[in-house]
Amino acid sequence: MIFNSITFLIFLVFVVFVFWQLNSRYKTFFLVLSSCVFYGFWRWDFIPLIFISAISDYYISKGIFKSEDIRTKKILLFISITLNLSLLFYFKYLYFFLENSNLLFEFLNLDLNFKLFYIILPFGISFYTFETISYTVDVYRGMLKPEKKFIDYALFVTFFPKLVAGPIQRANELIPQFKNWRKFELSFFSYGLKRILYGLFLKVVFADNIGSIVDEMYLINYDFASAIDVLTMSFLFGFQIYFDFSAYSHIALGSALLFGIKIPENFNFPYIATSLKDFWKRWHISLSAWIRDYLYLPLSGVKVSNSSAQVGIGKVLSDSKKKRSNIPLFVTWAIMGLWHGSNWTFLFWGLFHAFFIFLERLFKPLRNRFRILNFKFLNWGITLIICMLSWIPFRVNSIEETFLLYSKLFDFKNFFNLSFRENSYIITLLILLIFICSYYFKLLVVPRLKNNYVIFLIYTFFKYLLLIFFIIIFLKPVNQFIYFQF
Amino acid sequence: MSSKLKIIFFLICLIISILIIRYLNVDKDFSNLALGEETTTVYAKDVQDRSIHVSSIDSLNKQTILHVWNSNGNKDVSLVLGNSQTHTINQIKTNDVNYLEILDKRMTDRQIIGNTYPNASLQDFLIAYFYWKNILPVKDVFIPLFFDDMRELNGINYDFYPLLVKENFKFNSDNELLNKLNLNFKLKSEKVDSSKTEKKSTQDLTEEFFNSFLNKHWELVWGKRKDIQSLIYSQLYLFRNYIFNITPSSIRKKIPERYFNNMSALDLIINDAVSNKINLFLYIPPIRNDVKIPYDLDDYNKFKEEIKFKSNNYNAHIHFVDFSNIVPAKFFGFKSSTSLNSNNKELDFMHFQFSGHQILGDSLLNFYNSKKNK
Repeated sequence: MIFNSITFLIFLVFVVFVFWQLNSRYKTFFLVLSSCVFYGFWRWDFIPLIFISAISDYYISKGIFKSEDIRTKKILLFISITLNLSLLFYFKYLYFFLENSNLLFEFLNLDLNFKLFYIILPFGISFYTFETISYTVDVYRGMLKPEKKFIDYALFVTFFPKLVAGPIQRANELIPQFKNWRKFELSFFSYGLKRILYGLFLKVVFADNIGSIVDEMYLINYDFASAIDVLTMSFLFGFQIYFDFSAYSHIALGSALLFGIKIPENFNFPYIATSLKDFWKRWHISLSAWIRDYLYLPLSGVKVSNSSAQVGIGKVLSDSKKKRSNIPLFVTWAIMGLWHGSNWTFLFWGLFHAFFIFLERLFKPLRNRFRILNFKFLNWGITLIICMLSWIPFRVNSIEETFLLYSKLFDFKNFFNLSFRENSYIITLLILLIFICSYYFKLLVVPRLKNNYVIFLIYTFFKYLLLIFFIIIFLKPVNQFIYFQF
Repeated sequence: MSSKLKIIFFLICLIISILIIRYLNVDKDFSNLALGEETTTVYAKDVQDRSIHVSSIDSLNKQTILHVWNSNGNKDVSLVLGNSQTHTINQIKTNDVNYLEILDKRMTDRQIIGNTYPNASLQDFLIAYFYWKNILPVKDVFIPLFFDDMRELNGINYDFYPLLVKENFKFNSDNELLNKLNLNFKLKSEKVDSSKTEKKSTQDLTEEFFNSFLNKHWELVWGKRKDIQSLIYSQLYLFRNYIFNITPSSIRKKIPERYFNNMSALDLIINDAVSNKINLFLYIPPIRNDVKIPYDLDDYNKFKEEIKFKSNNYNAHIHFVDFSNIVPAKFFGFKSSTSLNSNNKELDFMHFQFSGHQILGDSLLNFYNSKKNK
């Protein structure tokens, strides 16, 4: 089910209403059922796949917990991870693998050719696979006891607000809330509604409207693009993907709150970041935290003693006393890139980030020596440009196109040649300004408004009016969320 | 602020939003916003009041044109392509017609067929040219070459060609631009086909149901959303013009990629016309000339030189003339302000009054006759 649709809004009202009428004993079961309906509205036939992943990990985790033998624990963990990754590989990477194998055979003049066939990517598979893996690994690490009741675990995997595009949850954060359902609290309800409004507004007013301009931009013949075009293309797509994905997270958080469930934040004004490390503490926080705990730290040889989806990759990296090697950094980011999609462009995107994080580490001593390098505005500008330029491989179709567009950045002679209508540049600049202003508005103005009760009431009223009016006008489920494809 | 109050606010705002949508007056035609209120769209008809001028290629328009052509004795066709200059009249009066209708009344040996699009690009002309040429005996083609049109859309504006999408139109030639257009048509046709045949998800079905239900039973709110969207876009357009002081006189610079593709489209038309012995009448259309024109003069002059050079390269079938100064400034109109907070009228560089259509019609006829007799 798509969040920005009338179907979802009606579904949500119905489910919330019934949920609060039910006795605590039935709430979990009802939400599992509702989550299946939510998913089934896209494809009913892929629901069993979620349960294959969930049931296998549920029983394997029990086995890991019960076993005294470390070797058996390891074998069970291996089986669980292999099963999950096999499903992910089949649906997400098999086509890519076969296609590239054929290219390799051709290159090597081998008379081999895999038959290619189209595979539908089940929505949310990358998200729920990571959740079930984290559950098994946490049990293996002794940080979590396996769930006794399957229904609680099933809801952890299927809980519909975060099912298809995250935030990626940890069992120790979500399941305890299912076991002790909160009593109805108006504050949760009103805050949840507010977050849903924010999300719908960002999606239908910003992301979808920007999307049509972005689509047109990426249709041009890239040979004609100038540096200013490439920057505009990357910035505008960067804003589209941010509005789109953060909108989803707002609605997910808001919907969960309507059931009294708290889900950790997934975004925190990422384009305000003053370093890439900072950026990854603000962008898709639940994914970077997952990657940190289950990939980067183990690869770096650091023992993980705690697990939380609430802090991004940066914190633990800086806290870790162990000397960091750069190999895990590049391996982690390569996997992070491929998690987003089965294309070399995503791999390149991951390595692009790894490279600049590596540079940040390399030049860290210089920052201590030269004060100008700590100038926030300068760091913000550089980080923003690097982050935005990293979206180019995310949007184009091939590595060749990526390099072609990047090469245009160094064509200083034609730097300001315009390939789009003037509106595209104006809109990009305007959105950047809106983004910065909204950050400072939230940071500086809103706290002051709160000091004056009447003014704050008026502000809140008109904010709601504006949000609701624009949502009604622009609501339509035409454009799916970009992160659904991951 | 209490949560209770927030929820009350939420409900009140929901009701107010619905009431605003319900009672907001949006009876304006936003499609003509850029044209201004003083410019009216007029399509040409023949002496028997039958349509000979279309703004899109759809089944109905195709049938109408073929019917007129059959009824008039299957005469050879003169195809007139153009943009809003052709199909609009500034400060229209009763019985005013556009220059296409004037040509139709005077070129009795030919069947005049017009196909014009707002903000047309040369790629649009290319598609229209090939389409009509394939189904009618086109002997002459009139093409105005606006510098503005060289800045227009890359690819295909599907609203102009619903029938071509349906029929999966394809150019039978190997050329980079044609291949790209073929691919665009193919993808669009496939998308349309798959939306008809693909198994719909439960969400698709419920969404269709809810939308049609709301459109039917809540038309005054749900049905008005598209108009209000247009109103919002139009206000943003005016706001942009106000902030950046953009007026019809603002300089429009060349957009290299679009210019290249549109020039390639012109080359393809010329090549085809030469090989099929179709007379091509290329002309630089009239533009208001008593004030500085809204183009980079260097770009504009190079553009004119390039067209002239292209025309001279070919044989007797390709004709070129520069009509940029034939319509006196007094026959060009004004348009209402395209900015917020301004009631001042602005100069309209492209659209003229009926007298302008008369002058252009006469000039095209003279141009046609002079080349025809040679």
